[in-house]
Amino acid sequence: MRDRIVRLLVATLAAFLLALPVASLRGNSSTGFTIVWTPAFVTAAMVLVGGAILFAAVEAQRRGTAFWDARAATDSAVGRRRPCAAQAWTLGVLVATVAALPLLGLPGAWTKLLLETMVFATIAVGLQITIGMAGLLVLGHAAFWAVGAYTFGLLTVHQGWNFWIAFPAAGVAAALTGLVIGLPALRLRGDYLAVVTLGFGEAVRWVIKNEQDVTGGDANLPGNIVPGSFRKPMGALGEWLWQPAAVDGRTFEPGTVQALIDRECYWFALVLLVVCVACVHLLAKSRVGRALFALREDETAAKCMGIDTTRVKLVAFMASALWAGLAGVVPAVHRGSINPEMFDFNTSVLFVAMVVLGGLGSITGSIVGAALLWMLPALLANWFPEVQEYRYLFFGALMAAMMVVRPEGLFGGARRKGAA
Amino acid sequence: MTPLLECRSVTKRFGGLAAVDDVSCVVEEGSVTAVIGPNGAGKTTFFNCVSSIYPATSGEVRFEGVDVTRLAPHVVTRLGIARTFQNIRLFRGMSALENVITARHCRTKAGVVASLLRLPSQRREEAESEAIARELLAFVGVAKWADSAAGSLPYGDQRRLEIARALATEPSLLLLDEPAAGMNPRESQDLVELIRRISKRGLTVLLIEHHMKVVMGISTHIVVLDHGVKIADGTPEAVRNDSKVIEAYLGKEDVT
Repeated sequence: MRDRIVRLLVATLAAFLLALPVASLRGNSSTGFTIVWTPAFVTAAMVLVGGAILFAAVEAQRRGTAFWDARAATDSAVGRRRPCAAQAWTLGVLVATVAALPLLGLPGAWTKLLLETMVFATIAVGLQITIGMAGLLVLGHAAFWAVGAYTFGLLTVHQGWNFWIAFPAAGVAAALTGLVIGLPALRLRGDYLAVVTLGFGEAVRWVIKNEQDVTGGDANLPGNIVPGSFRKPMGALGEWLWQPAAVDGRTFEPGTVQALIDRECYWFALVLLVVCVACVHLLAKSRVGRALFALREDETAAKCMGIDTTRVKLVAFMASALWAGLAGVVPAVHRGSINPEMFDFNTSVLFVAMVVLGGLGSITGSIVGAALLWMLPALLANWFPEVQEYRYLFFGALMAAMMVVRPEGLFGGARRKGAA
Repeated sequence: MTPLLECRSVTKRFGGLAAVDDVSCVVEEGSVTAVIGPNGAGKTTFFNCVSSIYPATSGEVRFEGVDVTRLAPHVVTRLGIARTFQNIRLFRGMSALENVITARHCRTKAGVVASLLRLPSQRREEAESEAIARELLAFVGVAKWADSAAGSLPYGDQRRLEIARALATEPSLLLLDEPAAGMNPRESQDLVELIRRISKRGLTVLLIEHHMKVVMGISTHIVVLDHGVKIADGTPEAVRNDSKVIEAYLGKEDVT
């Protein structure tokens, strides 16, 4: 009983924290995130929170578990299945509502924050494939993100490639990098693998820093290369080229071009996230996904059940890196500049934290984890500038509390080693 | 006729210790062969060599005439050797049904792309795997646990689930490592019944077992190991009366 109350509290807190930023969507982009209630946003917030509750309730009904049991809303390894019609509709409404937010006059600061959150959510969901499903701890995931972003940047800026060719190329480059790092890492497990991937992540960052002629080094890509065309709105996405923020001495006027770009990138990131979630969900339910879960549960047994663990691990590395690479395109386009410090070790750790906080193997959890770990610090820093210095303390406490209360993560299944 | 499984001078050394020392034996198709011996006799190590978890230091394991000594475990499984484990090694966090479906891996082929696009061939394969898995769960008698986490099943049923999982790989040779360990007399009687039914399905069974009742009840052939060395090999009657076997189990007769 006590266990349930704790879970109820945690779930409520999570829901509250999620609803908070959504319910307060009104602000001046120049002064940050202020809270002003408007009918449109209150409605949107109610739809989002209501939808989430409905989804969880239907899921609880299907599983026959208590509604407040956070596991009820999850998709962990046990009994993963297709959403029923009611859930599919709910999900549709949720996504549509999120997509409609910019049209309701979402301020720039919020658009940016949500956009970044969706990028991180995409990466975290992709990282579930290696950490959550296959149980391989990867501590250098930011490197794949960097490979995607730089591949995209270099191809569009130096080579003048079309967006729609450079975008998949970024994903492919990251996936191939995943293969390259996966090969030597195959024989390693647990801590050793973590150390190797950590080293790899740092190596990639230092290559980017040192190869100044190509990447611009510590200065942003692309150094002084300026393509001729102006960055175009969504209608002409086909000709959309990456470009630095200032062209020919002109700067973007706040609220006009920048707002357009924010909005395009927002929708692009949303579509990417939805596709990523769909793919990872289908993967998890598939033959390959089961092999990955089996690998996590017991590698020896998996081998003896006919699973080629070498191959499956490589698939995990590549698939996971692919999503990070694709997600790397968004900041490159949106910020108009990328630099190696965006992809440092802290970022890799942040990704792992998102996955662990959300719960291993849970897609819902990764998204919630990304939202909590990316939005909360930004909002807190904005609303309470004086506590910003303590945010690592805050996160340390949060993670420690999580490990005590729910070691399996917010949405993780009740999987504990040695559970009878 | 070539025997289903033939081991020639199989030896496995861990440093100076020969856990399995020059063991040769054959397992005839359709037989139920038991490997017995005191604790530490090298029975599980022998199994690990046959299923290629680690390759034999020297010697040769031939399955259906093919040398499988140094093949990867998953290749050996695909060729038709499946096994269970002495310490149950289920995929604990996955449901019982998923455990069995997972073992269909080497008999199915839907790749990542087919799965993401949910191609008709992939759906058909999934449906087929699930049907086979449910049939196997019913066959070993754990159908009611299909949707429960494997780790939460009662002990005896976990052992049965492991057998169902091994059967899902469509083996022709099934290795059972102490399937009756920790079972009460009634459960082990049920297990003997289950092994008989498996044998009737046309599978050859090779099992390690301590329960003499189980061993004598079902085996057609017995191999006895002691300190890594094969000390006897024959029908249950012959083995039961073998002086070396009696000595290994009960100690040397003191004749003074």
